[in-house]
Amino acid sequence: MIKTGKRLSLLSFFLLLLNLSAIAQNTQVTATLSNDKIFPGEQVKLTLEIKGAGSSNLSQPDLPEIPGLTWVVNSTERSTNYTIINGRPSVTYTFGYRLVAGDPGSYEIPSLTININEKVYTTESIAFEIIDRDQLASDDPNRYPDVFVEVELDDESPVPGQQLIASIILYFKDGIEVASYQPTPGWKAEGFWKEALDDVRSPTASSVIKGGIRFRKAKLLQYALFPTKSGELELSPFEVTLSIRNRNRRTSFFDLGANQSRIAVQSEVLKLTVDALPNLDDAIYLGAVGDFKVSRSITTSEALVGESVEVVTEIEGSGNVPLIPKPEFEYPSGLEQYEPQETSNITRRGDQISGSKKFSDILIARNPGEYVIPAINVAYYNPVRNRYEIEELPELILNAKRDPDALVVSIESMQLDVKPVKGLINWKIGSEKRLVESFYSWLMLALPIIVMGLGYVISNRKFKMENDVDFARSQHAFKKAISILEEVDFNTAKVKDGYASIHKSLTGFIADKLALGEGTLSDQVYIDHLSKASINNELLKNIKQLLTTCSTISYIPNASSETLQDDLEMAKSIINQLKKEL
Amino acid sequence: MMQLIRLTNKKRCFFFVIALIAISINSYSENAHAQGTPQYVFDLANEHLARQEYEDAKGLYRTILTRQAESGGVFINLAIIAVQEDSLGLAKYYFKKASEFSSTYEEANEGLQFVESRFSRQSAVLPKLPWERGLDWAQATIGFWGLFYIGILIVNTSIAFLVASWFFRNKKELFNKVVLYILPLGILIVSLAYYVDYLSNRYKEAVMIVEQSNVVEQANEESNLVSLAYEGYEFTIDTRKSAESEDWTYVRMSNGLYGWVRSNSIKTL
Repeated sequence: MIKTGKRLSLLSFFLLLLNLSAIAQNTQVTATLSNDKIFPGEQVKLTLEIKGAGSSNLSQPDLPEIPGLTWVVNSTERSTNYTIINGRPSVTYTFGYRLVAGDPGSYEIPSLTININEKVYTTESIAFEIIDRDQLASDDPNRYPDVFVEVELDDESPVPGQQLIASIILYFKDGIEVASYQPTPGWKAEGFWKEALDDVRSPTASSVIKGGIRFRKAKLLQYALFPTKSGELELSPFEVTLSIRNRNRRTSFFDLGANQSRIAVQSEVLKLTVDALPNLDDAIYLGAVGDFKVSRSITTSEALVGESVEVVTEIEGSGNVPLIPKPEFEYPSGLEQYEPQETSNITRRGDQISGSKKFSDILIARNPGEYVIPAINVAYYNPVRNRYEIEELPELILNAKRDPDALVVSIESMQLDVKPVKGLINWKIGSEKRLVESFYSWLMLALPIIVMGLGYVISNRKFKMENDVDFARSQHAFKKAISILEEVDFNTAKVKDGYASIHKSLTGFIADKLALGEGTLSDQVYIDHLSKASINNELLKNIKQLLTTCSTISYIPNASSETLQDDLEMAKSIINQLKKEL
Repeated sequence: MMQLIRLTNKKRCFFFVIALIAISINSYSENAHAQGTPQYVFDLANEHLARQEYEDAKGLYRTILTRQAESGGVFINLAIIAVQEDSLGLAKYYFKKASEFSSTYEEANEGLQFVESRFSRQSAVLPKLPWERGLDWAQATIGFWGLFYIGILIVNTSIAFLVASWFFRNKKELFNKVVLYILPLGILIVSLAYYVDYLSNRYKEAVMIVEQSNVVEQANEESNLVSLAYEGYEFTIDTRKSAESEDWTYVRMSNGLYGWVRSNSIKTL
């Protein structure tokens, strides 16, 4: 329904009717048309309402020629309504005209002129359209049931945190009366933060054409929805239980009340795409989407050590106020931060959620000094402008002073008297190695065992040398034999003596090693004992040959010192070999 | 003669330039070396600390520790920063570390008293058994290396007497008696050194550095609660059992209860 009208100033006058006098200071003249989209042949009602005037000679205005519509003669209605508002009487005259639609097209009801108490009032023109049913055939009329409910959103591609208005719209065909409605509780709008909006107005029905069929639509409820994430989101069905009455079904007087029923209708799943917020540089995103003002202040710029101060951040405006989280600021490390406080004042009036949120960071300076809380840029997203709005929060300074009245005891208990260490200090480089991992420790452990073993071997040998003659002879044999050979004189005149020394050395070495008697044995006895000792044959042959040479040297005419030297070397070689084998 | 003097001057110039370059290179390398030393980083960190730039100071002190260089002074200064930042659990940890150094032992104990007085919750402490106290004392005062040296010295002395008894048989009886008394003692002390080494490696002390944490029966969040632990509580960690879980540590609380705590809630000494 479209309302038009014009307000004009009017002198007050007296209304005398049924002993009631009404004084109207303002007169309003309004013309309304019941439908602005009409099918050919369909009836519509034009209503002319005159409010605030009292006149005994107010006659029904005549309608001018209206293109596209024909006035049904004798269908005029008239009514008068008296009210007293704030102690002032008021009267409303209503004139109704029934009209029939003609050919399809766009038309306009011209301004109507009314003369009241010799003053002329005019209404505004009303545009309307007569629609050809054939042109609407593309939409299947059977698609829509007699009564259904839809959830309508005011934006199809929001960003996370943006407020959406979800209107629960009820559609019902002409002839159906909706006596009452009851939303089914527990609507799960998953992926959204949901807030029911206060709607003081009772639902009013208006006419609308869907799929070539005239429906009446009424807005039942309104919710504010805030998407909590980006991506494809689905809005679950909204269910309403209705009490309806179908006037077209009553066939007789006795059916009165029988055609009233309770039905439950639910909306279809609604899909929408939530766009991700754009990237933000050089500012902290507050998580606020809407239109806001951001401010930050400190309760006092001077405080005593141990005294609490508050840094209050206020975000005020309209948008997702209930969802705004506490902004995190960095404070100087000397300020202790305690449990923050949060207060909010939120209004859910009309189709907007607005209000303010205050976040208080409670800080306590532990030491005297100047603490600077640096300036910072914060941002919220404005969905109307499709961009971030950045606001700079100013630098805050807190001067903390030591409390002179504080008790000494409490200062002592609160203060750490340990001073920082400065200057040259001793360093411990590297970590201490474990005993089991240290080669050095195992070496130290092995040392006494090695010493003990060596000591045992040496002492044992010493003992045998002292008490075992054969062992002692065997141990000294080599040294003794070599010393005899070292004393050999190579003078040609003493060649025979040389060979005697070789013989003595060799037989002495064999006797000492094999614990044989010395000097009383023949060469063959030595050879026999060596054979028993299993020395190799080549060596045995050499020994035998050398001993034979020594024994027969007296018969060799040309024995020289060179021959002696050769045989001496051979004797040394034989003794060395025997030392290894015996 | 003049020619000779000129040549001499040229040579002087040449040697002067060479010497200058050598001195520059030497001083540069010394300077570069000094800049990398723990002492240089420590001095730099102290300047930040004096300006109350705690984050920068902390970063530098920790750089020193990552280079395997330790000093009581570093731990004292880190503890002071932790007190300033109201991280009392962490402050306790650093003071305890500082108390391991003789140069900062007194300051560390003073700091520990201050920190302990500020904890709102104190854990019940089950007294240690005498032999545990003895081992702790041995570890704290002598250390396992000290014990090892003492033990090995006694063992070597007794071995010397044993070997001497083999050579000097007339005093064998006396030497054997000496060996009989001191060799077992030496072996016992060396064994003790290895045991202390094992204990100190397997069981370590730790301090809780977060406000509160659960001590649970098994190494998972859903496990039964054994006890609640608060900032500053001390634990004994069983490192071998703790190796079974990556994010959890098996601990013995000072009140004698055993359980698992989140590894990031404690700091091991």
